[in-house]
Amino acid sequence: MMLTVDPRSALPPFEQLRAQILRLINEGSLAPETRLPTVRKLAADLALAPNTVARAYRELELNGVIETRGRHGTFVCSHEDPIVHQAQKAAADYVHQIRSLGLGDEAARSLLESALEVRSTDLGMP
Amino acid sequence: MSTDVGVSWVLLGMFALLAASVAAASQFRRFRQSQMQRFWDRVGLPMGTDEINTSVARRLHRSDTAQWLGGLAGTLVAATVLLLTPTPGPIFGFSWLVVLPAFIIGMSTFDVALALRDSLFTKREDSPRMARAAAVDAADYMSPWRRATAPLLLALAVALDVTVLAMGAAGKVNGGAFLQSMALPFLVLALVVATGSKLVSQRMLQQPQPVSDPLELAWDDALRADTFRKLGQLSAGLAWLALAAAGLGLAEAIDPSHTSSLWSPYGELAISWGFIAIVMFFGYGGAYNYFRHRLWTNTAFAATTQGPAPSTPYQP
Repeated sequence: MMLTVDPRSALPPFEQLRAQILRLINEGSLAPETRLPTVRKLAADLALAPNTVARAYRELELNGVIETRGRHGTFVCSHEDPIVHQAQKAAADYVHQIRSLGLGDEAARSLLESALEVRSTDLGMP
Repeated sequence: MSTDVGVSWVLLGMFALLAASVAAASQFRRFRQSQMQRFWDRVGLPMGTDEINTSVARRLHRSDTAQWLGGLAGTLVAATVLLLTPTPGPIFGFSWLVVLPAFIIGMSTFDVALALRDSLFTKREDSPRMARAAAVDAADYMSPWRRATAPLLLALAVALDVTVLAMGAAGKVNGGAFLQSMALPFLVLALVVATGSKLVSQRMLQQPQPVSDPLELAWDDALRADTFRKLGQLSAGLAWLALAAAGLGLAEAIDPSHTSSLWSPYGELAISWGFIAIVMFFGYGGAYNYFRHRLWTNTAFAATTQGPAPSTPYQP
């Protein structure tokens, strides 16, 4: 369960960090409720600016993969599968936007089905 | 000068001589080599590259020097106490309740100060940097029993002190004699050291570990675990002495004239053996490599980093 930052990589360090943490969580190496190192500690270990680590954590938090619990620290979210959680969040956002536009559930379903059909046709899926 | 004071000065001289001679011996190459070999045996990690070998040897050497200089400083503090105290009491009490605590507190303070400001490996520009993805805590470096020793002994010392105070208030024992004993000052000292150790442990966990590969991190963990072990031993040792001082205070409260069998040499022997048992408990039985079972289970280090016994002694 190691994180590596390569200063010679074309990927910015925050993206290297974000992608690795996400991969470790998806693989199950970082189990739900695991506490992550503090921003300051991780930044010092990897010789990065604290803002770089904070940005990676912030993006993971926005995706619902990790959560900050005040001074207790940052933890891996306890959802079974962070990908499913992200999909649920996207679906909830969609419903919220449809409702705010004054459209009903039927319209929402038909728009979603149309979008799914268009996407499937684009990708050549059955 | 009374016999007790004379013997106390001899004892202080012996402690000072011990600290100075070990600090001096640690400057010799052969001493450092055997020390490195012993630590390597206890930790059980592959030595890996020459760079790791040199860094670990340098840290062990500096740690050793700091410890014994700290012991020397502690002895000086005890000597000051002896100078300022016209009647330091019986030699047994002075040696166990002043000299020994001052010595071990001095050793641990200097060593921990070094651990807090020293970094085992240095950052190399342009090389990949590595860090652990999950946070660690003190439980990853010291076994539950070792972590529980100091709090358990302190709780017993507090319970005994409170019981004797209550008995003194009820007139069942001589409360005045108990208050004049070393029980309460020692309890306060043990509590302060235990709290200080806890705070230092928290600080240690936030110390950066700049490394480039897992084996370097494992060695950094080994030295960190060693500092935790020393802190635990210091807290437990002082907690034991606080309990012993409470026991001596109780004996004082029951028999201020020192005429009963409470003052047999067996009690003093029990204190000595108890302290030795704590030192052994924190020195053997997986005390050095517990972290490996917690943090490096099933980790096979790369074949290229496997190495034999330490081969390149550190040259200061």
